[in-house]
Amino acid sequence: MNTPLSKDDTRRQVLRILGEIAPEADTTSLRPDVSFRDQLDLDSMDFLNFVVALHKEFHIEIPEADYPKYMTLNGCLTQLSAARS
Amino acid sequence: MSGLSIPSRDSSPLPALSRQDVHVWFCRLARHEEQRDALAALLSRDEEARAARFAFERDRRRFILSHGLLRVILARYVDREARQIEFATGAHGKPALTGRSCAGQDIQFSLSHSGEYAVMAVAAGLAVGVDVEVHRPDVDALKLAQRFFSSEESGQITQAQQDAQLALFYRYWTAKEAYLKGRGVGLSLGLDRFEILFDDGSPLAHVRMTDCGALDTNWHVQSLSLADDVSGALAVEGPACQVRLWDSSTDLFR
Repeated sequence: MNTPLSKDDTRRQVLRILGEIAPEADTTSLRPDVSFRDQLDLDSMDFLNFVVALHKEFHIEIPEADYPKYMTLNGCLTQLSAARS
Repeated sequence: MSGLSIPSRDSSPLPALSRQDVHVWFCRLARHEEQRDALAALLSRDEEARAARFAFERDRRRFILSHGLLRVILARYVDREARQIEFATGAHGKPALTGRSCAGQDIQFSLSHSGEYAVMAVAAGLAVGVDVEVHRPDVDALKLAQRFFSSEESGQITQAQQDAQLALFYRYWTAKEAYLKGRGVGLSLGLDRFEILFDDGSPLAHVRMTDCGALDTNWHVQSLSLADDVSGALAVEGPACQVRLWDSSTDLFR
C-alpha cells in the first residue's frame, strides 16, 4: 500500500528529481504552470529520464498518453495525487 | 554586436526548393553571436515572452539565436520579411506557417536544437521532422533503449561494441524523434510502437509499426552527418527525396 504523502512532501520529491535531471536549475523559483521545457529547456530525453525517476520514486505507472500531463509542476502534483489516492 | 547584418530575402538566392528537395540548415549558434541583437529584433512578442521564461541566460540566448535564424531562413522561401512571418502551433506543439506567411505556398519546416547547435528542415509540400542531439556521455543509453525502444532496436544497441553503443543509441533516438516530430504526435505515441530499420551501410531508414509489422511507407527517415559527437536525422512524408545540407554561417550570411 502506498504511504500517504502530503502535497508538500510530494512537491519536494518532484523538485528533487527535477534537480537531478537539471542540476543547474534553481527549482525553488520554478513557475508551477509553465512547462519544464519552457523554463529549463528540458528535451525529450530529459523528460523520459524524469518519467523513469517518478516511476521509481512513487511506484506508479505513467502511460505514454499521460505524458503531457506531467510537463508542469502542478500537472505532476495533480497526477501523482490522483495516482496514489 | 553589429546591428544590421541580417540579409534581406532578396540577397544570395538559394537554388529553388522543388517538391523533390528538402533543405536542411545546420546552425552553429556561437557563430551567430554577432548577429544576436539583430536576430532578437525579428522575434514576435510571443517568442520574446517565451525567451523571457527561461531560467538561464544560456537557454534564453540559444532560443533567441535559433528562432531568429529560423525566421531569416524561412524568409528565403516565402514572400515575407523575416519579422513578418507568422506561426501557428499544432496539438503537440508542431509549429507551422500561418496567415499571409504561407499564402499561395506550402512551405513546411521543422526546428530542433541541442546545446550550441540548431537544425532546420524546409520543404515544399512535404511534411518534415528534424532532430539534432549533442552526445551526452552521461546518458545511460542501454537503460533508456531497453525501457523505451522496441526490442529489436534495444537488441541492436546492446549487441554493439561498447564504444559504439552511444553513437548507435543517438542514431536511433534522432531518427525516432524526427519521425515523431514530422507526424506532429509527440512522445505520447510511444517510442516502442514503431521501429527504425536502417538500410545496411546507408543513412536511409524505413519505419515499421511494431503492433502489426507493417511499414509506414508514407515516411522516409535518414541520418544526417553534421559534426563529431552530434547526431541528426530527418523524416520526410512522401517518397525518398534529395536532401541538401546548408551551413547557416557560410550559406546564409555571405
